[in-house]
Amino acid sequence: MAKGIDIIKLCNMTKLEIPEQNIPEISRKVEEVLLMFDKLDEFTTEDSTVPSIEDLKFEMAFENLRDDEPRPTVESSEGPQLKFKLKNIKDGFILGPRI
Amino acid sequence: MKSLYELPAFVVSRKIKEQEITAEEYISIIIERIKKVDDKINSFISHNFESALIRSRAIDKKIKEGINTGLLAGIPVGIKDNISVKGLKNTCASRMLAEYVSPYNATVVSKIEEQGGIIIGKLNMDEFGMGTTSEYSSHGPVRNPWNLDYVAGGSSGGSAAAVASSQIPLSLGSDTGGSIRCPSSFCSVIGIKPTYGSVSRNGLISYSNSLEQIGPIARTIYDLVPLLNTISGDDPKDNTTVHKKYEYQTNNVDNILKKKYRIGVLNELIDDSETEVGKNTRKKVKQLENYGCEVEDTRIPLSNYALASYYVIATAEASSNLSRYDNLRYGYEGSPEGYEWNSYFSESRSKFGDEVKLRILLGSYVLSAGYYGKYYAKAQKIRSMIKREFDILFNKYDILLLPTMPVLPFKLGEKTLQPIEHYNLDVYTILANLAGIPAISIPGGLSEKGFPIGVQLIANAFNEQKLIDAGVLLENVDGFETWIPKI
Repeated sequence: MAKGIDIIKLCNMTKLEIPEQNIPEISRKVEEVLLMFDKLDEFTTEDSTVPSIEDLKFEMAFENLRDDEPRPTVESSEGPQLKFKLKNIKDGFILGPRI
Repeated sequence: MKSLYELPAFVVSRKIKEQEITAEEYISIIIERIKKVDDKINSFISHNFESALIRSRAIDKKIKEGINTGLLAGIPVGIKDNISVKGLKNTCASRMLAEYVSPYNATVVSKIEEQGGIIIGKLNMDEFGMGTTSEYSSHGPVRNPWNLDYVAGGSSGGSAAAVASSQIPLSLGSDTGGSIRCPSSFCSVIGIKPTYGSVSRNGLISYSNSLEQIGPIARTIYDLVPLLNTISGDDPKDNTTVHKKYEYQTNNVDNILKKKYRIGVLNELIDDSETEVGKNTRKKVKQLENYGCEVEDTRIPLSNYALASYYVIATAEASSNLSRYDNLRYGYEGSPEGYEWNSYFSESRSKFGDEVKLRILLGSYVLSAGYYGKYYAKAQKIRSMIKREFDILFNKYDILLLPTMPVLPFKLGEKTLQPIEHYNLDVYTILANLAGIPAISIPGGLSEKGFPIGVQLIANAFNEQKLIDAGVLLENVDGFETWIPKI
């Protein structure tokens, strides 16, 4: 399952620029790790001493939900103190690339 | 006679409060020590010396005026470079954030300052916390104070190495899959990953939100507890914190023995470790047995699937968290004018290191529509079942015991090219992160060649007190706070 991943497509999806000469190495590493992830395919509920996830009971007693007590908004009391030192500003606007 | 920098923080803090010495004198000594030693270890990324001296004078003034100065009065604390400190660079050891200065304090940092602690600098780490050796850092690798050619462990390698080499008495790290416990084991210090939700993560730069926790590192359990008490508790800025404040204590041995702790020993995992690690871990079991603890062998049947589950969840969350780094809201100098959006975004993100890129690729793959059920959904199911297995074990035992790391510290560069070999090192530490329960690494001895070995203790959620009690017992018998590397 892990073989033959289109690593260039994956790089495009994740917006990562990887030099062409590094593609074989990163492909090898991705495939190696995905092979380790395939261990999950071997899982059966018999491996565990606990009931399957469908049988698990919620332990929280729902009648004990905590009260919804209003508190002051964090932003209103602390917002003005936050001063971001942004890079790439022109005429008071944040510069961005073309969309 | 010991130098001031070698003394435990609680001893020095008492001296400062009793005006035997001033906080300014102590901070000056610590600064000299860092200047002398850290060139060899590379545990700091940035320093905060000037502000630390100003703050120490303010604390001295308060003491003279009889004003309460708090639990950590005059004590320097180092902060891992993924925890925000207002006005200091917060690089996460990444070129992506090389110029980023935090505009606010993480809640844990504010709490330390409220208790009189002094932030002395930011500590080296694996980039964004992704690593087990502290070699994946844009600032260069952290070196192990016990042997400078060896890794310090990671990702909080700077936090552990700085404490082990007596540069600072206390530090904060973060633990996503063992990042506090692994370097604590490799450097022979104590590090605890608290229960998920007991310490605020506000201001921690996220790598994997559902797994990570901030926690303290110290040379002695008596220093660890005041820092843990300082940082734990409810925080309205982090909705995952519990609405209860736990106060931990260093009880005396007689009171601890009355509790008759039941210890479950994860025997299979001890057997799977390197010989010297296994041998030393069994010594710890024997010591606890000699104290009158009930000891029994046990196992976690699903531990075979833990590594795959952990890395599926961690990489999935990492790919989501790190998508915010587009060099517009945070980043480095570089004008986006003239660029098309996608190409600018991709180029900016090329600043990530190779390991971070690998994890983003893996995370995006396991979350993609065709593979979500195969990887992510299954990993989450197994995670729930592992948690349930722990619940069953904690009906029978108070504490579970196993090695922190399956191996001894190894040479720098030895494992960086093999991801699986690298990920396998986390196999004993990720269990507590998957289950959200507390775990501590305690110095367990030195190998024949003088490398530290750590023993790991795990307890049920919000049972940190049991881990601290066991820490007091082991420190009492071993006196490991006196094991200091010569540097």
